[in-house]
Amino acid sequence: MNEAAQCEALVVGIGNMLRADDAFGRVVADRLIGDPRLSTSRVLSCHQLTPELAADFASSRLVVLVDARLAGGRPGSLQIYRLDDHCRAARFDHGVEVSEVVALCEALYGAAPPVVVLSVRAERLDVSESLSATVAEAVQGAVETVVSLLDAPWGGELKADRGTRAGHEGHGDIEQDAGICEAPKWATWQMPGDDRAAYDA
Amino acid sequence: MTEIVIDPVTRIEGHSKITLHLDDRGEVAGARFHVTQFRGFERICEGRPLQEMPSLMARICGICPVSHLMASAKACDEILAVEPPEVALKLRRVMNLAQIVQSHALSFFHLSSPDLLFGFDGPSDRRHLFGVAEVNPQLARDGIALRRFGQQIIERLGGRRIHPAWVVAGGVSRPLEPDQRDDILASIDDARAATRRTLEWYKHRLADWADEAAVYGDFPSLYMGLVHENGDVAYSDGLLRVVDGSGNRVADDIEPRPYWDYVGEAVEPWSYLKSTYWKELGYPDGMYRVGPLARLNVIDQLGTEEADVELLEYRDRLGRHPSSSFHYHYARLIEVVHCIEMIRRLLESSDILERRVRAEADVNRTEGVGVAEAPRGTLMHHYRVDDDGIVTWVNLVIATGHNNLAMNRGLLQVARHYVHGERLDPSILNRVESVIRCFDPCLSCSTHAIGSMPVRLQLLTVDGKVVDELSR
Repeated sequence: MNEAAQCEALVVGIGNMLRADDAFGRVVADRLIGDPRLSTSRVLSCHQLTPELAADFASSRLVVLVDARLAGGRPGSLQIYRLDDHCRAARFDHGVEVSEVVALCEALYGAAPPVVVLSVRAERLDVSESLSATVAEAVQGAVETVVSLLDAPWGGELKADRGTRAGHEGHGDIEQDAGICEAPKWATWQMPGDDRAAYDA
Repeated sequence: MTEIVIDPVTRIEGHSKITLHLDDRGEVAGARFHVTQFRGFERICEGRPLQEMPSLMARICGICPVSHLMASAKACDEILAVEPPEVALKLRRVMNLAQIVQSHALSFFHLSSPDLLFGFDGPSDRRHLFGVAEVNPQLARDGIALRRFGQQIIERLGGRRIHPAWVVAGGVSRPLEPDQRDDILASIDDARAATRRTLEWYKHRLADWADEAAVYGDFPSLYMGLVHENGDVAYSDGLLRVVDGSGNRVADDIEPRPYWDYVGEAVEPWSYLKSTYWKELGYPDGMYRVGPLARLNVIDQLGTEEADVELLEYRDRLGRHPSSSFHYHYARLIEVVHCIEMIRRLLESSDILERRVRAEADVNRTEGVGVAEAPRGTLMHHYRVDDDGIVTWVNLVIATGHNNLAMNRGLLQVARHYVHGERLDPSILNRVESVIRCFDPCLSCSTHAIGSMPVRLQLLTVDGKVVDELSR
């Protein structure tokens, strides 16, 4: 883990390493750990979201979450969206959603950084320690996407100038076209080889 | 006879339900805590090489994998007939203490503090971490800080927060690096401050919970825990001590190895959780408790300065051997104080960076027992292997199983006090659940019913009438 008291960006790869493509986020995170292009960032590889991540969010200026998704697009396609401003402050039960971590971050530490979710459409989620070939091909694209996100001019007041996009309530709830975001006002950046925030790997 | 069912029980680790049995007058005649999930690790491990066991057993639990690593590695040490290097034993202790901190923080802050903050009859829609964050953000921040503190130590030592594979037969797989030690030491003051704030907050409000303390599992029982020769608490080594409710030593300085001589394991058809009992007193009279409350009752002292000051105050307030299971919460916080102090002490020892951290050996015995103190109490792993080191038989005696009889007894006590008639309101439901939370049961760890798996098969008509039933 690359760690600093206050970092520019936090990259969190989420997933179960024993559930085939669900491990995508962690494979990407493991690839990014030690990458010199992320020298001012922290990278975490996590089995699941937990309330403790709120403290990690609070000490970062940008959070990029890398995960697998169940629907939307074809297997191996990457989608990207920014978490809506209106995070759901639901009660924690057995699972924790990213919107809840953000809400907890805001409640406990006064503000939360913008959160960008980069996800791959999973092909299979059965018991396996390997990604499917289709999803494995998307790993390098995701790595480069994360790096390009961190290069974007995020500015200082992240919470105040966050853009919004209706219909994106949070982790695992992405519309079919959700990744095709217009360039948001809070940052300008280009995807590798494309001017859209979603592309097929 | 009427039955009230509470399913699932919330804010605990694992899946369970509660049934209350009412007599004709609507008074509680019986209460049962049913563990409804089954894991079967004792069978899964058969046929696996011994060297795999610590990592395999860590998968039993996402909350206390380190405890299983510890007990498993100790059982393997015994089978290899090796003595791990002294520094490896210290490093194992650091990881075990870190896990106790993060697990106790989970239990106290995330699961139980909503009840303590809003009251057991408080609004159910606020009794969660967000409610705590809203009303007492410092308490919520301290909970998060302490859990991170423990998790980050585990991650620094073992490479990951959950299911680290660093504790191995014969020691640990890698030595501690200077920057790892320094990072951990640098985080101790903040963890200590968070614990102090919480403990002061708790003590200040202790009198408010006198009613709960009187009925939340308040009864005489035996207590069991590992103790060092000098009477200090022991989490990773030591010998077993058992005391009764008055502090008389029922057993002392006993080797955990022949646990089967004094601990019996019973299985009930209504739960996948074993009920262990002190054999001398028989079943179910041989009820005993383990975990924080029990540990503070069996030890002479904790063995670190600040924690022992707190222990004296605890005993001044509650008596030398408090019997209410409600005081698990208080005991848990004092243990966190001790664990943080002990982590610092161990990391500041002069040999902690030594490079030789593992003793190598082949199979020299065909049977081994490993015992450690998990956050919830005494944990026993017992393996048999063949001459090639292939596991042929496993028995796991888990902390939550030791507490099973006491949890059911506490449940009955609370139910009889609060439940009258056939209707439950949400506050009563929470009270019935919250006595279970005092014990902080970890059900994924503990569902290892000995012998045949208890199963009840019912054949129902479309309108739900039972037409036939088989039990095993």
